[in-house]
Amino acid sequence: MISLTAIQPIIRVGARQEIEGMAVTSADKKELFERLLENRKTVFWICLGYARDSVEAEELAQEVFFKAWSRIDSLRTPERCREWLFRVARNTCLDSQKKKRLRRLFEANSPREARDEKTPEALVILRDELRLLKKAVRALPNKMRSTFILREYGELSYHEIADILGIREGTVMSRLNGARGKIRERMKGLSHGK
Amino acid sequence: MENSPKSGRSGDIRELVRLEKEEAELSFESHRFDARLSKRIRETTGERAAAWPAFLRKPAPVVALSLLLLALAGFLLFREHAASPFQQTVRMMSAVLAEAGDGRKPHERADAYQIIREAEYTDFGWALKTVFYACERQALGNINLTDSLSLIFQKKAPQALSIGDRKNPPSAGEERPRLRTDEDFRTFFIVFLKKLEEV
Repeated sequence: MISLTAIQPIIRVGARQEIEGMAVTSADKKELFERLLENRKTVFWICLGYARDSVEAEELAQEVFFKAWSRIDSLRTPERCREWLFRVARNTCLDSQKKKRLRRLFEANSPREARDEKTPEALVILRDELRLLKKAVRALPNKMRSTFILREYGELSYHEIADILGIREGTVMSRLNGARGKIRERMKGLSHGK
Repeated sequence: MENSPKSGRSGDIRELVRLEKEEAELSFESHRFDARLSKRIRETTGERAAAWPAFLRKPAPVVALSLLLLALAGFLLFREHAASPFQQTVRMMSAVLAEAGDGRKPHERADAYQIIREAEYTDFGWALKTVFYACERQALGNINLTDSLSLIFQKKAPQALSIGDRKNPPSAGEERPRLRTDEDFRTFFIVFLKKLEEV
């Protein structure tokens, strides 16, 4: 478990705040952040869905928790902190992708893909498939991609996804079906075009 | 519906995701993750704390702070050298009694009560206190304050007068001062205050 002694002094700044009509102390906030940290793996999975690899996913997850810690004061419904955290995760990943897209305009080749070529022979096929999957997921429209990643990577329930994205459960299901179909088509197209 | 069996292709996608997660999990260590996060938060804490000295490096806040400190020091020095409670008591009694002699009611000097209550008392002071409390209780409507004080001091005056001159107490046969008139009272009071100030 993370040492929260470093966090405590900052959380104590402006320590009293109204959350749903109740005064929330620094101790409450510390406890709240500890509760958020219990979801580090799920956040990592969600970030993995958006990221190219695990290294990038971990960086994103770090960013997510740092943002969560900085903005914990804005959390108005502590009992729904999990959904709030995943919303922060999704937004952080989308922001990061926007920045990356801009960066890519100035970069001809991706060094990560070059590194993939050096993988052992036995893993090449799997790597190829994973790369195709990644490309297919990245090519999804934003709404579908978020739904797919929260479900398949984050392993969240339809109810939770609906809550995070602010849509109905039925919409979640239809978006998931659409996403899977598009991924399948895209992967097929990419493998034929290879 | 949520847990319904998946079709082959959907299962493939899920299987691929599972494999990717499994592989990624190998490089993910919770304690390392927490340590990194903790370090980052600590560094930010340090930066925020370091913002204070930067604030103090600006001239305007430093000047304002210096002036504030000087004002505080001046105030403390003034308090140090201000009149002692005893002197304050003497002055306040003089003022109140002078006004009482002019026919003004002591309750118009509400601040006097507070100071006299908190001060150290001589016999004379206790006598005054008795008068003030009596005045408070009786609302002073038909009371001649000077007469009341005179009556009190007829009993207390011998002890009060002996404060500043304890080496030569009055002998048994010597007549003790009597304060029967306003003039007697004023004379006694002036003499007594002088003695108090000598003390």
